[in-house]
Amino acid sequence: MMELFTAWVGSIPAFAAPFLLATAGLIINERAGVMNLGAEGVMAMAAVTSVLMEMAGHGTALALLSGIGAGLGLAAIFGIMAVFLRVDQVLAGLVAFALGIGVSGFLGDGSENQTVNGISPPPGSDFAFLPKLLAGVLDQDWLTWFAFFAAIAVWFIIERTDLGLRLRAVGEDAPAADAAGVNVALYRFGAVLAGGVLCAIAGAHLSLVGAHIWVDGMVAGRGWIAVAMVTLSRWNALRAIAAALLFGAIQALVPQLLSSGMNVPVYFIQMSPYLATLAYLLIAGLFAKGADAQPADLGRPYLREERR
Amino acid sequence: MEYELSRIQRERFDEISKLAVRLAEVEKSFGPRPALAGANFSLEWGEVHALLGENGAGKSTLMNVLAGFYTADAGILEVDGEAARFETPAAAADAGIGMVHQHFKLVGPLSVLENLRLACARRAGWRSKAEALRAMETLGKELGFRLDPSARVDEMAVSDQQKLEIMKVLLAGARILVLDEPTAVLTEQEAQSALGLARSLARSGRAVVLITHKLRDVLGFSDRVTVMRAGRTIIDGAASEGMTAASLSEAMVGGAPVTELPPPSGSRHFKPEMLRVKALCAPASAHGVALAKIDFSVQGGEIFGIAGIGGNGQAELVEALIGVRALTSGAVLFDGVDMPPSPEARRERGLRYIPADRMGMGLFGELPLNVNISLPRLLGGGAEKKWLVTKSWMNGLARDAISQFEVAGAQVDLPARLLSGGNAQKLMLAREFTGGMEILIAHSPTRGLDIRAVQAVQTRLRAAAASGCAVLLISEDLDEIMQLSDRVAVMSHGRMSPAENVAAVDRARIGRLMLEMH
Repeated sequence: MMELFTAWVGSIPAFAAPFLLATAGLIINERAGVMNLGAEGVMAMAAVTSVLMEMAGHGTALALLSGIGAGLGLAAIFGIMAVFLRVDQVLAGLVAFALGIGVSGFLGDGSENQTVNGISPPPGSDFAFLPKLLAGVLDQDWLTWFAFFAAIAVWFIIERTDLGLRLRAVGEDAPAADAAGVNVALYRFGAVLAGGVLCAIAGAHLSLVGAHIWVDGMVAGRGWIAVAMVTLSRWNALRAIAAALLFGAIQALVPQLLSSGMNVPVYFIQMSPYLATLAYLLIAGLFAKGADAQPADLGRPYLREERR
Repeated sequence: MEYELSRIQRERFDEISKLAVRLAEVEKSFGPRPALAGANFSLEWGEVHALLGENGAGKSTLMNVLAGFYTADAGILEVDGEAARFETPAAAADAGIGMVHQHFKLVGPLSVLENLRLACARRAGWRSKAEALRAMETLGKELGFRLDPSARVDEMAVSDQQKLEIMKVLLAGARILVLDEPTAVLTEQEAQSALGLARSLARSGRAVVLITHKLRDVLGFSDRVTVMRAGRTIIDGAASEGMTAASLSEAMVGGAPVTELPPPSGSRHFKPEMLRVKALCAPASAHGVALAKIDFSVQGGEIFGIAGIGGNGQAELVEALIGVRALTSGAVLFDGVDMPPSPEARRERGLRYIPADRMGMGLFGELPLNVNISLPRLLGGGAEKKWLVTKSWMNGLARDAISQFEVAGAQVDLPARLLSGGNAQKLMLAREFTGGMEILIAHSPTRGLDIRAVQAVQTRLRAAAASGCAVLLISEDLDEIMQLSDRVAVMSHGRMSPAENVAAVDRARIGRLMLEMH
């Protein structure tokens, strides 16, 4: 039982990392006032591209980079629609979602379920001198470590730097930011791209670190959960770490319970993340605290000569 | 030698360099309608220049062209004698032009210092918070006021937000200041000090444009005046001295000068008390204040004025009266009985309401006029409950309303948002002035309207009172309160001062009550 517990705790960070990367990426988007519902599609594009590149014998680093490139391309399409053409952001996000899912399925057709090396934790433990539980938590691959540092960096940049101040101003009150001399479209597009990079890394993490294969539909709603987690963490990347660990913990239960041979309905376990999301949204709705932190100009396109 | 200027050239040069700004024959259209049709304007260094005109005369549009928010379709723009064209507000700011908009361009959730850093850091060359703080301190000393650098902007008083805006444009290096209706939202005392500040900024070598439609601002505080009407310049930079209220308003409106609203004629008959508010307490809205024991009553036939700076509980009071804000204690009585709780039931009992935000809470902007007019009648208060709604019935109602309330430029199928401010308000009145009206709540009913529309609205309010209705007028415009009300009270920090007869009160004391009654 204790072993099961140790294994479970040790697997939480790797399960949490994709949630965290995608949520941090979407926080950048939303703090700049852009609602991006295309995260699921971006993650799928990155997941399939990185596996295909590795299968083609290009090495993991290049595979990861091309995954990021593919996700970034889709994010750029979304950004052009949402920021420059001022298409309704919900619609543009759904287009990016459908496009990402469709194209990734098409690209990966025939290459499903083929194992790649991907990224794994270093063999043996670097932290063997620590108690087993703690060593298990710390023995992670580098991409998982990156996720946590990235979240802290996102928080620092948004809350503590000049760049972040501009980003927040654009998201809270685009006309005022424009009057202050901030190029609203440029900052918003930049935020979409930066967020797209993090969402793409989240997707690559799923296929390279988590599964070591590509299966159509493997993102399995994580991009959507990340959208909800932005609200859950109230647009704060540090709180996103806590939220991601919670969801990671729930997801990490699935393989542990299955391997232990416990008699729990598989479908029930698999639906647990969605249940947790639903439960959170219900609670948040009842206490309506989350709205406080929401950027005031979220989802509102900006054009200067528009008379409002 | 050949570069030396001749005497005539030098004089010409001096004349040019005296000019901070020259705008000539500027044109700008939004869609098919020209907002500017050949407007002229010139501004000298060291002067306060009033830019006067009705709503829609183009004065804000012209200044937005100068400040880089709009680009002109045609015309000349010169700053300090050199031709310029600003594609962005940033480009205009680089040329030393700063505009304080009527609706402040501040980022509400950020602090005072963050707003200053956002707008000025690059231009002022600040590399640290400390440098920004020092610059803020120094300028505060010159201007004679102090702001808390860590205060959240959306929690500050409007007059402080205005001071922050002025600080912001000065710290960003502005030498040419455009103030868009700076006194519209201030109390008497605050307005005086804001205008005094504008004057001292000009005397220190800067140039200040004062966009306004208040004659007092022109006659008391400006050196020269330009009057615009329908996108054209009518008076181009005449000395303010020697101007009279009559000559200015004639230039503004064109044709016959607008006379002051005549005092109410004949003796007034007040009916017994219709609306009574008893020890009313209600929770605050977001960024608002809670109501603490509000007590007053309004008789039939009376206009009861509530003065006060916006955000001191007026919105909460109105919401409590129309039934959308729950009370924590106290009561609202109508003819001596408790008001029914729901807004619909209150409408049916004869309550009518003109909201301050006429496009947000009043009209359905995207829906055509006929729907705007007929929908509330179906919801009660108008007593026309029917299940089948025909277009001809709606159009009939809308046509009646348009002709009776003189809504200009209106067709029954026009979306309400396309109406100008004054006509939208007339539509709003037409919608509310239906049979069975007993209590009328008018919240800032003339805000942002031009002289003629203001008169039309005020005449309607008087007529409502004359017909025996109890009228509650809530306004930030003290002139309006004093002109229309029979009794007046002041709201401040969610409390209300005792009501007084309007003939017996003194303006300055009301101004003090607005500010001091903490």
